[in-house]
Amino acid sequence: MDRIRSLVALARLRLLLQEWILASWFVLSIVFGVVLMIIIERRVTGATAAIGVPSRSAMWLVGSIAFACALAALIGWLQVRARQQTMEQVALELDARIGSGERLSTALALSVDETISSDAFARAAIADAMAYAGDPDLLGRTREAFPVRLGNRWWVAPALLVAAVAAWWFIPQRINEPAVLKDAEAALATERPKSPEEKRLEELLKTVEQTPELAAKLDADLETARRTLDEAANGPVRSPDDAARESLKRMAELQQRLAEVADSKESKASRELRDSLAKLELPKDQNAARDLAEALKQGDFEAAKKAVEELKKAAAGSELSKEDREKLAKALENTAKQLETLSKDPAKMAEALRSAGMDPALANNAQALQQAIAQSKDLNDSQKEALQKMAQSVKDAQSQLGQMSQQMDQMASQCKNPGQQGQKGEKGQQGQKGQSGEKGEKGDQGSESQAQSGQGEKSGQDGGDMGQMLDQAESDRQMAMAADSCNSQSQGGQQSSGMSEAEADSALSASAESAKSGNGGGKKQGSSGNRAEASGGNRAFRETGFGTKLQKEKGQKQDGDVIARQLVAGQSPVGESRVGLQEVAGTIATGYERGSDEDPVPAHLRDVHKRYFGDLRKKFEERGVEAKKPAGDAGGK
Amino acid sequence: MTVIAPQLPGDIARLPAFDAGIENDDIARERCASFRSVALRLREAIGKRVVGQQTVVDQTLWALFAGGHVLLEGVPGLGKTLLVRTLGDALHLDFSRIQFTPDLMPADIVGTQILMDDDAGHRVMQFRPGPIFTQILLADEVNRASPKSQSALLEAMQERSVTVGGETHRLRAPFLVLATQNPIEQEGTYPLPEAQLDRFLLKIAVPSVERADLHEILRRTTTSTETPVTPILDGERIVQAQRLARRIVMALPVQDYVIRLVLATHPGGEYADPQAAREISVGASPRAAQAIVTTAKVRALLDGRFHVSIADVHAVAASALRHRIVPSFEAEADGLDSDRIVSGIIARLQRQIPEDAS
Repeated sequence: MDRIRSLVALARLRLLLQEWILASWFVLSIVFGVVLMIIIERRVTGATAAIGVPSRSAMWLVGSIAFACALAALIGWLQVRARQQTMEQVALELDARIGSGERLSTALALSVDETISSDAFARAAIADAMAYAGDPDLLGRTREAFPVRLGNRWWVAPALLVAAVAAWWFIPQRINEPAVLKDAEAALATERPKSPEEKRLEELLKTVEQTPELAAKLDADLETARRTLDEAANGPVRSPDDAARESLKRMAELQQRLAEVADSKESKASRELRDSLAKLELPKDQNAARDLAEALKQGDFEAAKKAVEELKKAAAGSELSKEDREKLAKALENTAKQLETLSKDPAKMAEALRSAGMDPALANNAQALQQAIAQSKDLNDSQKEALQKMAQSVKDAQSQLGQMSQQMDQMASQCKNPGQQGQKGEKGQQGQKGQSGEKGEKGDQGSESQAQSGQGEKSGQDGGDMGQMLDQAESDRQMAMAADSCNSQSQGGQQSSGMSEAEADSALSASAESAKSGNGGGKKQGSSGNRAEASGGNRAFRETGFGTKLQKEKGQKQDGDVIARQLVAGQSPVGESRVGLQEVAGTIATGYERGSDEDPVPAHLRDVHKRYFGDLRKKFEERGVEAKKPAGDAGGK
Repeated sequence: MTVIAPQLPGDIARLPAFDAGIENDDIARERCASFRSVALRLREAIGKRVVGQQTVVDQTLWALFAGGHVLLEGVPGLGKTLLVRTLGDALHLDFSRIQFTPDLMPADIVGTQILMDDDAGHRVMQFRPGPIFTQILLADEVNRASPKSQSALLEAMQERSVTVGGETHRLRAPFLVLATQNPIEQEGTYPLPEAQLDRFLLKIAVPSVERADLHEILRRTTTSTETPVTPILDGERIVQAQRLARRIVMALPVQDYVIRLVLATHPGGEYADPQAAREISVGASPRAAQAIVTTAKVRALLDGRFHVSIADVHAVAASALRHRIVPSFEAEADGLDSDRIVSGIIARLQRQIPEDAS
């Protein structure tokens, strides 16, 4: 029986091996097919990149093949285990394959049945089977009956493997890989260094924020700029170019606002004031009055305020001798006179009027000057506006100079007579009256002058407190200087940046859209020019940020009015238009054809285009109107 | 009706008892070998008269040694009756022939009681046996008799006894009914009911003869020469052979195969063949499995083996099952007969043992 059992065991082993090979080979074919499909899909659409399939990785390919083999072996083994046959079943199969007439299976079955094996016929059957199994050729016949070989379609798996390797090797990777790009963008977003534009915007923000007055005025714009930088760093993924473009936009907007601040009447008045104070002559004696005059001459109102405090202490104290007090009072009176003189100096305005081709004498009469500017035919609107602003700023500066002169006079009086306090109140009242008169004059000029008159009123109410006036002057000065500085910083950065001209134009045009007025360029030009003068010509004259000049060309009308994009000859049609419905239908049909054929409609609008003209055509057809081509298209295409 | 008296055998008496001493391995082998040689001689003897129907002869011998009855079906002139007559000649058995006709009465088959005067001058009812009281009965054209007459065979075939007038008369063993029927002449016939068909161990389809065989038939039957057949086996040896055949072993896998084969013919059953379920309206009975096993054992014995193989099952399956399954309307519409249905089931039946077989 051992011989029979060994034969059956051999048959069973070979049977399992064969089944394992077939099952594994089948699974291998499927997995190789899947690998091939993944490679092709990865190269063509790239969607599998999202699940981590790399584009060209030999390791991935080798790993996939190894995984396929392992998976096939495992599934084959599971399949064999699931379909594992008993020895009796295998013996029956062996009998069938070698044609033994169920000798071996019968013997195997009878050998385990004691009741049957006691039968002579059963013993005879077993003996027959053993004699049959003793045939030396039976082992070879068993091997032949249970071949271990690949299936008929063994070539499928190698073919798929070769195809997969070939696909991996030869199929090019398409550029458009949404998932890959997404990953790259994500990596870029996390690792991307900040662009120069973003850095400049950050620096500009820091600079602006250093001046609280300016930051308060530009609060909304600063917030927008901060949000832009924050989104570039932490928000939705953007390309470096997009981030740079956004930063440029914000910078351009800030520039616009800085230019407006620099061009404001407060800033201009502050500049005029400083220009005028620069002409002060310093007292010869070295005392507090000289310090004050020097600070005013340099436009350093902070230092001037300290000097005033020193003066007050000196005047109120008893350290100074009478002689010194007189010297000090004399110096203050001298400075006050100079300030009063400067407050009436029309030279600058006269020079401006002269440059504009107007009578310089008008600088002495503000009301006449306003009328003359308004009625001038030689000046364009921009020039008129610039002159009016200049006149206003000169006037404001002169007003401040006058106030300073009065305060100086008061301080001089205090120095002379330390106990005389009543004059202060009188002077203050006088100052208040004077300011009221000025306010009356300014009333016609509109609300712009309200703030300035308010300043004078305020100083008058305080009894001519020089300190407050200097504080305000210092505040205006700082804001003006900061605006100038920031504007200069941002413009200088833009000029030195590596952006192409087209990009810069694009950014500028985007910022221009958000700007309020259409003549921003002209304003900017003017203000820049003034700032250049104010800083003593240290800063280079610059027309616009990128050398772009916005100008409006005068068009010439020929043979008719321009009422649309087309030039219509003759008189412009007015009133109802009566056109034959057939002709309208023809025009629409022609337009539809042109839109579809000659001038392709954008892909995303084609459906709309077709639906719209299709509906129109239906409506015409419902009314029984045939399309009649317009006369101009009669001989057309 | 003719009763043919068997001739006395010449060397039958010298034959050993086939089932004697078979508990010994060597004697069992010797008895089997002896039986095989006798069966071979019997086969050759029949072959002297019946030409070209070797399969039919073999199947008839299987039924003889399996102890079952045979229904021979074939068109007229194929030698059915000759086969049975030759078998009767080759066996030292009583032989009777009944030609079934529509007016045949049961009493004509089993016999009747008649009023007779005894030795004392009294009138008594005495049973006069019919032709069924024989050992080999040729029921020629059995489907021509009325169902009533056909049913007269039922008890005799199954119980091997006849009850007439409340008195049961045993039939001598062996008792073998060899019935014939013509499949094409259906007019004026009474198809055998299923219950009666089931009594036949095998239904043997008698095929047409080949060209060469026909030459031989003509040579033998159209000349004045006659081929004598001498008796080879007597009834006792046949019964011994039947007992010997039943000792052939059948392993569990083969037996399970037989069971699954029979169950596959049961539409709607757990082991029903899906396709056969559409082709069969009534499946084979357990008696079919018995028929297959006993016949397969005879075949194995005749083949010199002590065990039954699946090949034996395949060889006997058609003749054991063809009259026990009822083809469905769809099968008949498709022109499928029982033989094709059975062969289809065999082709689809797994050789391997299902998990739940043990």
